[in-house]
Amino acid sequence: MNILAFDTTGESCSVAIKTAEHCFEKINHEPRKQAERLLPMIDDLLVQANLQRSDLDGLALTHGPGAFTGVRIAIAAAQGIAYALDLPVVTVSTLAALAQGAHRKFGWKQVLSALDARMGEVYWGAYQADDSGLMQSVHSDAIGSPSQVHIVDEPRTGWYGAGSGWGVYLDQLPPVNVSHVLTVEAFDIITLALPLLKSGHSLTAEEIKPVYLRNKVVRS
Amino acid sequence: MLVLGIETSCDETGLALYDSVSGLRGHTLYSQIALHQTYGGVVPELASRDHVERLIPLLNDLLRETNLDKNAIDAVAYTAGPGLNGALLVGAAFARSFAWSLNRPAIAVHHMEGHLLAPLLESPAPTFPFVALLVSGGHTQLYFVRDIGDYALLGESVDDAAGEAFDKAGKMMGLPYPGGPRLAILAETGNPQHFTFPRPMTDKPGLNFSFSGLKTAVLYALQQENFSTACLPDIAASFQEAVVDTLLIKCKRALLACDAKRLVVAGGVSANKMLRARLVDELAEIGIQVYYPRQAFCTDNGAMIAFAGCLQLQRGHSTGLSIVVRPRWPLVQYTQHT
Repeated sequence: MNILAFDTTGESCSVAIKTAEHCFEKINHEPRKQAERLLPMIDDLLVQANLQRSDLDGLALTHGPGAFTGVRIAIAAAQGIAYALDLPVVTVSTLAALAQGAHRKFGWKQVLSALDARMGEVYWGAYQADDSGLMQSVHSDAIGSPSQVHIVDEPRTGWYGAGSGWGVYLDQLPPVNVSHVLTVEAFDIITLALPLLKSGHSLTAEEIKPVYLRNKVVRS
Repeated sequence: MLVLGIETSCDETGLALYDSVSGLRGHTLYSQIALHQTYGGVVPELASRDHVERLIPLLNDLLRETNLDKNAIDAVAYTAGPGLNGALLVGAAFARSFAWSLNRPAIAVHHMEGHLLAPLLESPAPTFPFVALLVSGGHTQLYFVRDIGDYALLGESVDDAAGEAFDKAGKMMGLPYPGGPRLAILAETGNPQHFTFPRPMTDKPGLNFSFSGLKTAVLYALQQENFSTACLPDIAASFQEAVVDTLLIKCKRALLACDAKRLVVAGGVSANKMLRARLVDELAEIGIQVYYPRQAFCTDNGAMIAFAGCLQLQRGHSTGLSIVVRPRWPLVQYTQHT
């Protein structure tokens, strides 16, 4: 199964392709350049992987939360690719992908993901690793003030923090060990999406939806 | 060459298929007017959120109505600017990715070139050269068009666009959103001679416009001592007359300066019945033929983008894999760029 995955919801643009044998990954950290970089990076990785567009079997991406524009770049690009190539799609939470990255890098099993949502708020979610090493949500992704972020389940210890929210609101967030995992790497999206793609729990291009969490966007 | 056109620069999601041989195959449009009505103006974030929900349903409709398969599409054209950054990015990201996936070329189109060339979709189409009046909620500009891609800016509004003035005057008069078209309907029953509003910048040479002062004149009319709601149709008619007179004077001046015999009028305000009728009648007297797009293509639409994109592609232009939009993008820079 050849899977293409990408993330444009945060500060970076990350793309990965997984084939039966190998995984290829590229990440670009220039802020606000995701739209410019995304397709050239995908195109390069396909060449590296020696694949044609038609060799792709599935698409995976983060659907948010994150920067609104970045979320829509991901969704619109995924719609275009999946529609053209009739690809099944799996979308995952940006917060889940962050937690998965923290698990992969540091072996952490309990992660509080928090992203700076501006306006004094964070997007956050709590994740725990299951037996197969996949981070599962134990508290629905939410938006709120940093003081609302809490450890949600037993055990009360052994929790770690990941994401840009910790850089901004460290003193207001729960006192846990914090990593330097700040951005999503597309490889972790594939890890989360692969079982769903294999079991057919996927979406069509038309069914892909952005997840903003902040839905009050007009002052009234 | 079958070209898919995608327009998402403001509050309309428009898609169309244009064939270089058989012409326009079909178009679909979703207008967000109802979405923004509550706020009295376009809310950019809401516009972007809506575009991303509409693209695939509209593309499905378009392919079904034209009985064409997506693989028959030879190229994709998309509006890259000017317009709302977030809204433009949705259409551009979708269009560019779709084209890449099918291994087809893509072309970034200038929204105003789309409007400018829209009358060429009609029959009879104007031949080059011509003077073009682009008049919408965002723009009031006069161009001398010698050929496709050869656009010389003759003049433009130094403040509000004509359509913007219509909308703001309508809002001041308490008309529902969008105020401009409502004002034009109200004007049909009013006396355009009742109020004397200025014809801004017509007493000076040059081809620039200024419409913000007209708004103020409307405000004074609304605040006068003997004002009653019965005056509203007269205010509307007098306001419309002032805008139409001003546009007419400047068009005549531009046609004379360029020694042109044809005038093309496009953009949302070109749907205004009074403007259409008076330009046709009064310019016919001096031997000028006036061309308009059909009503549906006066406002934003995908057909004009598919058409302009097709012409650019036929001239050997195409756009790389980077998704780049230009919220502010002078048409003159675009033509130098391509």
